[in-house]
Amino acid sequence: MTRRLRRRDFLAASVLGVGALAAFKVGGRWAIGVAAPGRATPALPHLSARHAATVTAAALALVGPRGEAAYAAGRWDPATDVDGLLARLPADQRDQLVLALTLFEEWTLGLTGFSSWDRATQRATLAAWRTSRLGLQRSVWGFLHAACASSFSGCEAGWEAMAYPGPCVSTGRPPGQTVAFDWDEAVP
Amino acid sequence: MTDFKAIVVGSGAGGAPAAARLARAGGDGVAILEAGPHLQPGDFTQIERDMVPRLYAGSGVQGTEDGAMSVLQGRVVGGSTTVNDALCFAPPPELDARWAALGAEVSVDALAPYVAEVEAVLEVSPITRAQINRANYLVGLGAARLGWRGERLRHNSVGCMQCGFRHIGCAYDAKRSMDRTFVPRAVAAGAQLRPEHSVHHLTRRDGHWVVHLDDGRTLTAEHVVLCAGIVHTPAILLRSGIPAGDGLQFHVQTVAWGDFDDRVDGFNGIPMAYGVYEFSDIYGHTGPGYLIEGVSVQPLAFSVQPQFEGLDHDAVLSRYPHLAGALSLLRSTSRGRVTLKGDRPSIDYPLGAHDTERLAHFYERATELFLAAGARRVLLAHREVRWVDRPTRVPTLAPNTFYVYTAHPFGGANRGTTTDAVGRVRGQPNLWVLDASAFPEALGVNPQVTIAALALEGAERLLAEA
Repeated sequence: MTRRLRRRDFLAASVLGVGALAAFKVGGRWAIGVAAPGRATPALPHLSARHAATVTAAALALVGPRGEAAYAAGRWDPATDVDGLLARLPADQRDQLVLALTLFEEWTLGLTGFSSWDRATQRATLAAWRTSRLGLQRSVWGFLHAACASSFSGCEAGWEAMAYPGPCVSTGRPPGQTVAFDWDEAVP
Repeated sequence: MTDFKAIVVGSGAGGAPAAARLARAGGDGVAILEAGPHLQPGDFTQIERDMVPRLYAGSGVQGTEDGAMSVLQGRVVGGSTTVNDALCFAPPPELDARWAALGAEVSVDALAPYVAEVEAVLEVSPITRAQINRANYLVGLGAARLGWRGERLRHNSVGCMQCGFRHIGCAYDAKRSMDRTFVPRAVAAGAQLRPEHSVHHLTRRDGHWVVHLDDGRTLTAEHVVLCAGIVHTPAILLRSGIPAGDGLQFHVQTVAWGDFDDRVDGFNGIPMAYGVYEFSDIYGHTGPGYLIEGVSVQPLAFSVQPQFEGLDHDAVLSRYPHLAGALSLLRSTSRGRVTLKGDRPSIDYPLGAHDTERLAHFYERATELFLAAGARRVLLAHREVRWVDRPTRVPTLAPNTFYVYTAHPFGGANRGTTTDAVGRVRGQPNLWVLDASAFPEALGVNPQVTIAALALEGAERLLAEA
């Protein structure tokens, strides 16, 4: 009888494995982290400097040009946002997300680390994880995507990119429909 | 002597009506234990990234163990009714025969007075033409042009401001969710509402129940009614050494978005307001088994769909105001289970071929619908097949290749297996399950009215026996 390997088991086992490998390969790099390109990220409660750099790079690659423009203008900080998201999650889910980040970093370490790659390579790597035949890689991609996409669409810069006027309560705009249309009598 | 005559665990569509009925007979002998907080309309800020973790089970990221499906449930006073889209359907008449075949007992005719009571308390009314936003209208228009049967749906909202935020709590106190209806009735009759009281397990002692909370405190009662939802009701039973967790069945939901030249602004107005019955298998219809419902979402819920990525994500975001959505409310035939992994509930729900084939069917029909309504193309929630301009058969629906979720899980303490035909837990005196976890199969329509009516009926049975 075979035992079905669950995603969480697989994540845990894989991270333990690549963690041990990383201890041989990269020594102190694990603790030092890799700086985010372009802008310094302040120390965060939940994300290490390396995690913050990875989140920033992945978010910019995933969200695209409007996100990059918002980041460059200082109007969007994905690492801080995702750290805030982690703060609101229960501990076990927080651990899972951090585990996914660690796994992603170790798997994509190469010579310099994901966050220092050029954007096209980052995008190609993420796309490969998105469509990977390995369920684990698709799951990690899902974690990254959800965290990064919700970060952008949850901030004002993201709302502007989506031509969305913002919530009624916080912006003070009146609730109600804004698009008038004629009703075709054939529609019940 | 016990602390309470009856403890109701959960304050959602099952727990609130059950508690109200028990309190009417027993006054302050009734307690409602709710794991989540008790929030007021002024607490609902409409900021998704703040409200979703506060209002949803698992902070909104609860899902199946393989990560393939999100499982959305409210964790707040009012349960999922506080965060649902307020749609109301009468119990389908097909229930009698379908449930009987699974060892469960229900009579839709006998349920009618309870349905009427629920609909009166919830002030259920048809959504008017004036309240339909353009996104939902386009679903109706496409259906009408194709000759498909559809209608404006009914909701439990009075004086709806049409802000578009029903899924993170009604800030204008218009939605008649359980926290604004049956819970206050229960409290007015003397029941004690105890929010942020999460139940861990139950034990028997001296002929009564001891309810153990997560924080180690205990409460005692003669009767316990479990209405903690399809994850936590089975989890409480399992931790108590009572067999449960099998027989989950979901409404499996995925989405398609029609892209229109003119602005649609689906984020304004009532998010879900129009239904298409052409492919359903309820209310006398004989389709493959899914209802199509118009759907609009706010930015965060929209952007996390995993088919958006890189430059495509940017392009999709720019089309957001031009998109009208339709979702599948598929009456799944797969079966899943809740188990405990250590102390933590774990959900498994492998989608069978019958379900994935019908989801592929939905993608084709939804595309057809939006093109008939005038869309220039349609965006599918699939990672490989995204924009289509003709009905397209998606090549594969393997787990994690498409966006799928459920807001309507059922089972785990099914009537006919874990409980008897009407909700008494087998072999356990004075222990009932009166929420959707006792449903032996997926319902076929948004379930809050059916759950509430069955809870009222079950509470009356309990009172008659007590």
